[in-house]
Amino acid sequence: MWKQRWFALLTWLIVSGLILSGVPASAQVPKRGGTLTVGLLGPIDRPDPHANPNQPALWLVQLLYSYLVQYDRNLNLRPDLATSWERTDSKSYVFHLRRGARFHNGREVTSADVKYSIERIMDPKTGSSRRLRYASVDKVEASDPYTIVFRLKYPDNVLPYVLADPASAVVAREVVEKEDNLLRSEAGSGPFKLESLTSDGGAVLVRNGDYYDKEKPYVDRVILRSIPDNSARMTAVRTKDVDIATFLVTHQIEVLRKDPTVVVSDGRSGQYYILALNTRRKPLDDVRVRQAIAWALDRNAIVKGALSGEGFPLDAGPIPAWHWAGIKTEIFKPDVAKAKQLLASSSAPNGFMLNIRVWAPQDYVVDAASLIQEQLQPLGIKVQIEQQADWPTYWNPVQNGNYDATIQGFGGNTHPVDWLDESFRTGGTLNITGYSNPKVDDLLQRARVTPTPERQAEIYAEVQQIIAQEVAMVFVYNMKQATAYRTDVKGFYHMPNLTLAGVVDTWLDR
Amino acid sequence: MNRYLARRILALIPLMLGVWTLVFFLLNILPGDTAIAILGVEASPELVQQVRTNLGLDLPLHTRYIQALFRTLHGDLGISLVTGRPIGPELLVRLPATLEIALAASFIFVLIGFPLGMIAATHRNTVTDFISRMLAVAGLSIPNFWLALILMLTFSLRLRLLPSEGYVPLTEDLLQNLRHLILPATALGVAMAAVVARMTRSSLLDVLGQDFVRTARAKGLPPGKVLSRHCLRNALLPVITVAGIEVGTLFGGTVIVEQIFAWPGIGRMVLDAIFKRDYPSVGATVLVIVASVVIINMMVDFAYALLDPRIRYD
Amino acid sequence: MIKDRTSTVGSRAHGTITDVRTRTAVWDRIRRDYIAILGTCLLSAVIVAAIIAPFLRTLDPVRTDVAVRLSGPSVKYPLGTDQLGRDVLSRVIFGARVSIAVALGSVVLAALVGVTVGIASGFSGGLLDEIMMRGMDFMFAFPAILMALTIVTVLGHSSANLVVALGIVYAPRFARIARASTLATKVETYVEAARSLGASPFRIIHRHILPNSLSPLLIVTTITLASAVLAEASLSFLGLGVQPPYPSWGRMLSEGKAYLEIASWLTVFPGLAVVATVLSFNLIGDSLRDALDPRIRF
Repeated sequence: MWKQRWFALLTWLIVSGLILSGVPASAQVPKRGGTLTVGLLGPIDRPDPHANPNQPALWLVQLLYSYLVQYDRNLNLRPDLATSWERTDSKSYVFHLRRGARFHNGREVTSADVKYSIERIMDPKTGSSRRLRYASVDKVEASDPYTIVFRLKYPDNVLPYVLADPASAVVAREVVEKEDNLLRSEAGSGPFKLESLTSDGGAVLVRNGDYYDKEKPYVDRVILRSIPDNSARMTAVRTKDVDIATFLVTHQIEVLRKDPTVVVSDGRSGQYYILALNTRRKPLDDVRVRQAIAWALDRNAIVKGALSGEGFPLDAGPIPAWHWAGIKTEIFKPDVAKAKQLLASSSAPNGFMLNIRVWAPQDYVVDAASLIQEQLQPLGIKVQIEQQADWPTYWNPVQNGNYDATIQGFGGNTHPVDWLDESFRTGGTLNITGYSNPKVDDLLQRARVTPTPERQAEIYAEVQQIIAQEVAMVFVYNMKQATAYRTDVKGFYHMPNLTLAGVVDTWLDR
Repeated sequence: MNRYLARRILALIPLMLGVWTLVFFLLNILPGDTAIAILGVEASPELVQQVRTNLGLDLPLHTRYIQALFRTLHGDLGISLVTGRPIGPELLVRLPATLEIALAASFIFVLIGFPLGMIAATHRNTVTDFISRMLAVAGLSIPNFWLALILMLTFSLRLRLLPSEGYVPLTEDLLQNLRHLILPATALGVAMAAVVARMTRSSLLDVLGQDFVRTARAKGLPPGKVLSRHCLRNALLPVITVAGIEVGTLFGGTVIVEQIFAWPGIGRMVLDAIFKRDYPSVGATVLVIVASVVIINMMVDFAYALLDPRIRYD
Repeated sequence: MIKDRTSTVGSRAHGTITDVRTRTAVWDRIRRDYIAILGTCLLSAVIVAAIIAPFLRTLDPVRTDVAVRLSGPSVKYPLGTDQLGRDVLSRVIFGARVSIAVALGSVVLAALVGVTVGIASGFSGGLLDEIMMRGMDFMFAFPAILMALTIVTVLGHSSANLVVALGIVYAPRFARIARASTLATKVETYVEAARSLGASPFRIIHRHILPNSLSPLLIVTTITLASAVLAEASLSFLGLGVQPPYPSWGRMLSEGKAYLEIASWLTVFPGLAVVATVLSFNLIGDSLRDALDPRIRF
C-alpha cells in the first residue's frame, strides 16, 4: 500500500512539474469575453446625458456615449471622437473628428452631430444644469463633416475640459427627436450598447462590435445593478455578487482592505464637504463670527469620527492638496482661544443659536454635525441639528436661502473651475451661502482667460486665499470614495472624477 | 353570492378613489417637488423652473389632478416623472417580488404559529402552555427589522451561509431565489407567527370551553377527533381574520426589511417614490397596495363562508 | 330626583371592573400570574431608568470621544462605544425616555380621539356612524407607515410630531373597540330603561357605556403601547423622529447598522432594550386579558 502511495505522489509531482513548466511566465494579455457586474449606489433615473442624469445614470451614460475628449486616469485630456485639437486664436478652438466612428444605429458621427449635441445642452429649454458651463460659446460651426469650430465670446481656457464632462455626450439627432427621452441607446456611439434597463434601476449593456477602437472593450457584457444600501454593496463585492462595487466610504474602505479577495482603489475624489453658513442671516453676515467658527473646528477629529479616518481635512479651500491647484499649507488649526477672542469682538459676543440642516442618509454628515455641535459649544454657540429623511424637504429651504447652516458635499470636480466658479461667484448656481465679492468674481473670470497654466495656478491660489480669509464657507473634509473590485478583474482603474471610464479597459481573468 | 361579489368589487372603487385623491393632495403639501429631487445640489432657481415646466409641474394643482384622474380612470397608470418610463410595466415586475415574500412569510407563520397556538390551547396551564405563550409573546415583541439585522449578522456575515441582500427571480434560478428569500421571509414571518399563535390559542380555548365540546367528550369521542371535527373549524374564523390583516401589512408595510435586504418590493418602491416626489408613481403604487389589502380581506370573508356554512352572503 | 332613580337601574355596570367584586377577583388572578409579575418588573425597570436617567451624573449620552470610538464592552463602557465614542449604556438608558414618552403620548392621544369618535358613532348611529366607519375603514386600508411618514414630513421631525402621527394612526382601533362596545351596551335592557326614564345621553355614556368598554379598551391600550414602542423604533430607524445627537433606540439601530460586522454591540443592545420594553407591555396585556375574561375558570 505504501508503495502505491509513493508512486502516486511521484506521478503527481512529475505531471504537475511538466504542466507548470509549460506555462508562460506572467501572462498579462487581456482576455476577451465575459460578463462584468457592477454595483451602483442607486437606481438609474434618466439615461439622457443632457437632462440632468443622476450619478448612476451618469455612469451608464459614459459607457453608452462618446465625447469629443475625455479624461484619462490622471485627469489629463485624451482624444475620443476628436483625434486632435488646437486653439487657433484666443477665441477659437478647432477639433478634428476621426473618421469611421458610428452611432449604434449605424450612421457615422459627423460634426453636425457634435453641433446639435452642444446646442442642445446650451438650449435653456432642455433644462440642463451644465448649460452655464458653455456660457463662453458664441457659435458652433460645422462647415466640414470632420471639423468642428467653437467661436467664443471671450477667451476661455476651460472649454476643452467642459467638453470632457460626462454630460457633454454626442448624441444622434434623429434618435433624440424620435424618442424624446433616450430610453434606448441608438443615440450613442460609445463602447457599449444598451440592451435593456431593468426594473430595479439597473441596466444590461453589450459590447459595441463597431466601436472605433477595435481592441476595446474586452468584456462582452456589463450588468449594472442598483444596490442603494452601502453595507449591502460592500458585502456584494466580497461575496462575488458583483465584480466591482462603487462609492465605498468611511470604515468600509478599511474593512475591504483587509479582505484578500478584493482590491480597493485609493479612493481619491474631488468631493469636498462644507459647513455652509448663510451669509444673508445675522449674525452669520459678520465675517468674525464665521472666522470664529472656522477656528473652533477640530477637523482631524471630524475626519476620524465621521469618516473613520478615510478622508482629508480641508481647512482653507475646496481643492484637495493632491491636486495641482490645491492649497498645500494649513490655515485654520483648531484654536478655541482664538475663536472665542474673535467671537467676543464680533456682533454676537455672547453666542447664538445655530440650526444646522442635514440629510439623514448621509451618516458621515450627521456624525460631523454632532461633532461640530460639541466643538462650538465652548463658544456659546448652541447648535440645533435638524435632520430630514427626504431630500426635497431638506434642500428646499437651502435653495431658497431660508436656512442657517447646512453640511453638504459637492463632487464630480476635476478642474478648479468646477470647484470654484459656481460656488463663489456672485449669484453662482452652487453659491448657497450668498457670498459675494466682486474681486473674486473678477479673478475667476481672469483665470479662465489667462493662457499660461502657471499664471492660472497663481490666480486660483489668490482666490482661495481670499475665500479662506473671508470664510465664504467653512471647509470640513474631502471624503475618500473608493471603488472595490475582485482580484480577477484586471485593467480597471478608479477615476478621481468618479466616473466608470475604467470599465472600457477592464478584462476578466477567468 | 355573485351579486355580493359584484357589490364588494364596486365598493372597492370609491375607496381606491378616495385614497388616491388623499395621497395626491398630501404629496403636494410636502415641501419641494420632483425638480428639486432630480437636480440635487445643482438646483438653481431658473433651472428648477425650467425642469418643472418640462415635467408639467407648472400647471395649477386642480388641472394636474383632473388630468391624472382622467388618465387613471382609463387604466393608464402613467409615466414616472423621474425615470421617464411607464409605471405599469415596472410595477408588474416588482409585484412578484412582494408576492413571493408575502407567500413565504405566510408559509412560515402558518407552519409555526398555528401549531404553536394549538399546542398551547390543548395543554393549557401546563409547562408546555407557558413556554408556548412566552415564545409567542417574545416573537411579538421583537422588531422585525432588528430580527432581520441579527439574522443577517449570524447567517450572512459570520457564518457565510446565506446571501445578505438581493433578489434573483424564480424563473432565473430557483435555488438562488430561495436562498435570498429565507432571511427576509423569516424576519417578517416570526412576528406574524406570534400573532397567529396567540389568536389560535385564545380562539381555540373559547371553542373548547363551549358546551357542545363537553357533550362530545362526554359522548366518549377521543380528544383528537373532538378537535378536528368540531373545534378547528369554529376556531379558525378569528384566526383567519388576524392572518388576513397580517398578510395585508406585507403589502406596503415591510419597507424597512425590504431596505435591509435590498428586496425590490412595493413598499420600498413607494418610499423611494415619495422621497423623489414622483407623484404618478406614488399614486399608482398606493392604488396597488390598497387593492391588495382589500382583495385579501375579501378572500378572508370568502374563507369564512367556506368554513361556516351558516354564513351566507347575498 | 330622576338622577337618583337611574342610578339604581342596572346597578353599576354589573360584572365590569367598576364593580368592586369583580375588581377583587381580577386582582387575585393577576397577583398569582407569573407572567404579569415578570411583565410588571420589566416595565418598572424601564420606567425607572427613563425617569432617573438625567439625575445620574455619570451618564452622558452625547459626549463624544473619538479616540475610543467603536470599542467593545469594557469596564469603563459596559455596553461599548459608538462611532463617535459615545457611551452606549448612557444612550440606551436615555433612549428609554423617548420610547416611553412617545408611546404613552401617542396612545393617550389615540385613546382620547378614538374613544370619542367611537362612542359618538355607535351611540348616534345613522349617517354619522356610516361616515365615521367609512373613514376608519379607509385609515385601516392605508399603510400605516406611509401615513406616519407623510405626517411627520409635513409637520417636521421631532418626538412631539411622532406622537401626533402615531396618535392618528392608532385612533381607528380605539374607535372600533369603543363603537362595538357602545353598540352592545346600547341594546341592554337596563340602558333602555334608563332612557325611558329620561336619562341624558351623557349620563348613559358615563354610567353605562364607558364602564362596559373599559375592559376591552384596557387590553387594546396595552397592546397599542407595545405597538407604539415598535413603531417609534421603526420610524426613528428611517430617520424621522428625535434629532441627533440625542439617542432613540430606533436611531441607534439605524446608525449601528453600517457597523454591523465590526461593532455588533451597537445593534444588539438597543434592540434588546426595545424587545424588553415591548415584551413587558405585551406580558401585562396578556395577563390583563386573561384576568379580565370572565369565562376562564382557574
